[in-house]
Amino acid sequence: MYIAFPGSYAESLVNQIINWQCCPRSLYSPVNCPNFPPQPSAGPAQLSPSLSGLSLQSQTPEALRVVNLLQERNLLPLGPVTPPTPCLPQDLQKINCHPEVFRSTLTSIPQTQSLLNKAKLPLGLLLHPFKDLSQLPVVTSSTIVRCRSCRTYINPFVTFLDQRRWKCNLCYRVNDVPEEFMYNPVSRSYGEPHKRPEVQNATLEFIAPSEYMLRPPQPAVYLIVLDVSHNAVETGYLDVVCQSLLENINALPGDSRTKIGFITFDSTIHFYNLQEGLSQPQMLIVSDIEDIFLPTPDSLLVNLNECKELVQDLLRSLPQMFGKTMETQCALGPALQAAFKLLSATGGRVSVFQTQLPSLGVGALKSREDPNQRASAKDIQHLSPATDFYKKLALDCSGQQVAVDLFLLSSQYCDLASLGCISRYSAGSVYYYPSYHQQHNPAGVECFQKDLKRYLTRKIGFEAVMRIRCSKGLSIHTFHGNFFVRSTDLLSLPNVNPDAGFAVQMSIEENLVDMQSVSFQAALLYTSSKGERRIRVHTMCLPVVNSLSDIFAGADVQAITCLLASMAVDRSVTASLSDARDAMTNASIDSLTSFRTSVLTIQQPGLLAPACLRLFPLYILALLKQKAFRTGTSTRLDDRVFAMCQLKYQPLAYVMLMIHPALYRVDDLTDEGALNVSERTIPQPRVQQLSVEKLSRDGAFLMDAGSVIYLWIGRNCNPNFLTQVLGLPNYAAVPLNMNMLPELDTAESQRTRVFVGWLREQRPFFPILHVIRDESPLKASFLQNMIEDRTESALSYYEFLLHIQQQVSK
Amino acid sequence: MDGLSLLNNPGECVSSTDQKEHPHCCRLYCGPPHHWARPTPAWPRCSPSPHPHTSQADLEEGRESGRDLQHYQSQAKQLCRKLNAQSPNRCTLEAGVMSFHYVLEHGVCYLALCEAVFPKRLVFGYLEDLQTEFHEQHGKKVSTVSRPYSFIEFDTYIQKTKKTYIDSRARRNLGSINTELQDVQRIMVANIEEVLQRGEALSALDTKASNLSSLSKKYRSDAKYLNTRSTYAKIAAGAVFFITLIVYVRFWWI
Repeated sequence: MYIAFPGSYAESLVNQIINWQCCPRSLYSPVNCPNFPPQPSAGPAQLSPSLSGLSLQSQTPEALRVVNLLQERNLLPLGPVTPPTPCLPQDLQKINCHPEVFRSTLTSIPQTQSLLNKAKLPLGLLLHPFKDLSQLPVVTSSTIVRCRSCRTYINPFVTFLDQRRWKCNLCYRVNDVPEEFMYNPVSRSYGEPHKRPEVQNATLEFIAPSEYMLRPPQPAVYLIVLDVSHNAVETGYLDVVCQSLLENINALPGDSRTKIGFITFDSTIHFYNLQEGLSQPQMLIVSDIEDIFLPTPDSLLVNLNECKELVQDLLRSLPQMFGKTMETQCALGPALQAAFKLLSATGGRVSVFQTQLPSLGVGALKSREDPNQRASAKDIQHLSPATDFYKKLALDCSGQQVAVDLFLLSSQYCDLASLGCISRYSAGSVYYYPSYHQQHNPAGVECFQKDLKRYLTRKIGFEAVMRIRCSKGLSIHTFHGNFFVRSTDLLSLPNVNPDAGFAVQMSIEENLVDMQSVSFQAALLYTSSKGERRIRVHTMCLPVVNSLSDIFAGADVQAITCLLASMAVDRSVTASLSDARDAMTNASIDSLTSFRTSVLTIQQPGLLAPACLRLFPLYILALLKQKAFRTGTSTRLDDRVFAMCQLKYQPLAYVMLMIHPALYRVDDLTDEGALNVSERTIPQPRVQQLSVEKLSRDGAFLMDAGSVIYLWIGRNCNPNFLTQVLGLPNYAAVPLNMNMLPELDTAESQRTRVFVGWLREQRPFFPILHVIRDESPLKASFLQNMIEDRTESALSYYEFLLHIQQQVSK
Repeated sequence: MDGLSLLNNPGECVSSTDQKEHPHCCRLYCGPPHHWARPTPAWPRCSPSPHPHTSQADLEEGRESGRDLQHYQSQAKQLCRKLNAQSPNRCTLEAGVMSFHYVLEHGVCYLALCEAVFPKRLVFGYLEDLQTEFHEQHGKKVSTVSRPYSFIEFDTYIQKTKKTYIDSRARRNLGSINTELQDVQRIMVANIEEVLQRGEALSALDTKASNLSSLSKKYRSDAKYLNTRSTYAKIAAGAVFFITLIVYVRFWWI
């Protein structure tokens, strides 16, 4: 028999208290600290509330250790910030879903909504459901065991009442165990349903039977839509795209059914007939952009394997074909309509490359940005789309299982706020390369190349839907990310990619009394590029608590920050940017006030925060200084909107780097405390505070800001570092735009390159490295990331803390 | 005539139970048919996007409405369920203006739907063509697959072959079929409704028989019960009589 929580409620409460005392959810520890097993028994004295209260005071868990933020300056942990571990029995915690995939803002769920309201912390989940996983159990069986009433997939947190019945952990209905489930294919034994892989893994994948297919699984279909107006040709991006496609044409995910097609557009739409048997690709021009039609519907999308040579021919000749074009207009809207028409029968992926504001036909846009108002404007206008054309088209696409990915390579304003809708509602992704130019911006070109390679070769799921279920009593009310909500809780994802993240907000509708834990399950049904229908299921279990101090002890500051960022993006679009900024500041004030008044028994002066939330004000300040939300500094509208998109659809790990970059001192890297990964020694320097006072002139500092890495060289930098790592004789020889570390045969160079390489490996996109010195033009953007410092328009960290303290003690 | 429309769902799935019932019928048509039409509550059916390939055929025909096509699809599914080892291995089934044609070979069924006037010779040439190619490419794997639509990659071949058979110009080159399939006229022709209903009648008979058998079982148990009851009644009557007799003898006689 399998019991999730042994013992009576009182006993388990005791266990919980003890568990809680001896589980140091330290955020300081450099690596994941193991959760200590719960003590099996408790002395009777601890049952008495007063005594247990005393013991709490004397032995506060690490997460609740009170920190006076005004006094303790150095709050950053030595290494990466680790998520808190839920206080669950160890056997359950061991199989719980990995925090990189599934994370909750509160790892201890409050029992009632009023308790949650008191804590003033947001409750929500952050998901990275299609993350590339190195190990994923795959189950093939003709019946997938699910709860009969709520359709939850059987998971490790269900209870087996006896051999024949199991109790759903989401709706608590008792279900029968099917005959087939009694046999365990792993151990080849009978009668052990609790040892099946479905009950042993919180993350796994099913091969879906035909009940999960509305139509035969679609083939992988790719359509490339390219802007070939004068402006686009001028940037020279066509070379990069065609070259990338040529290099990766065999690495595109798919099988022998894979289809591909091309559309180019300026003021007219050009189709390419690539049918087998033609000696060369045939270009068909449709100039009637008012009422778009497909000239030869059959031969525009062709089988990639059978027509590979024609496709390669086209890719080789495409960059030259428009070399002398003088056409400056660009009809993006009609081109998208054509793409939709072409793919609506099968579904698939449209990759749109766009370099300017669309000016012709439906969906034409006008410039809405006034560059002079960028810095001075009190409030930022035009964050919402100018037309609903792109949203409507995206919804049509979503209905036909077509996703649109937008690559925006522009030097001028392109109204990403309007264009972005096409990807947002069709579950695509947005890439933005400001000031892209082949000659003038080589770093941008390299970044585009690397991103494109990842984009073309990464895993892809077609015609997908995702549903998130949670235990009875909890309800999900708001979703963040790129998708369309088809019914109340079903997310329609025409494409799903491994770099997409999602967030949801939750509320507690019914009191969770008598429950020791609640569970959350995300199920993603998709068609793989090989034509297999698969279901990926993630299940997470969290404990329920009934005291405010427990809620605070389980707060996950990174998840809270990311959820708040998503909520703030919504707020700035629906209300205003200043409203969103105020809301974020208030979020930190409210939660710290609540901690001070409800949890702390002894009032001390200063700004007090629990150790687990000690980074909260810092992260909020970082958000306020983030491109998406900053005011006072000149920020291009497209940059701002793109940052907002990223906050909404990127997974937590990348968003955190974007919000709060990591600063390392790299001129004195040593192997002390280094990581050893596959025979490489990766040095682990300490994370520094983001303040200019930490930069010393005789050092070199590396700042990892997610999509970009800066290497700042101090004026009096150790000459050893300059020669051994950069291969330069002295400081003056550092070039103004250096993007590469030379491969030198020295230990220092080796260490630095391994470290940078390791940082890059941790994310799917390619961060460019900028080596900068005092005279570099990029120094300003480097210094803008110094969040703790004061700028002309924003508070320093200390000032911000004083502001919060003032509000808290009011 | 360009109206050869094909229900070419080249998926297949043979669950072990299926195989027992129809030892030689493994369907190329679509997953386990008894599952096909069942709604899945957790993943509600989205906008009714028609099958991509049939919709293509739909456009070509121009007069078959989507609803008719669905009707034919469900007929095809029923047909697949009916086919078994005893079924003729080549057959034409008339369904109004359209006809189903199928070839049953090595446990795989190749089914085509086309207008009744479309030359039968071509259809069977086409199906034989598919049969030969499929058997060559995947014949050995048929018994091992467990996943629906395992052979979906074969669709590429189906589409290509279909094009050559529809195209009237290319058709001239297919002269060889004419000689090879001389006996095509001898292929059995039946009406789809009859075939489907024959099964229904049989299943009705089956239910009736099982009803009868359960009724007779009930009758038997009832009769037994009545028998025992009457025996008990007799015994009880006898017992009462004897007691009265004893009491009578004990009190009045003496």
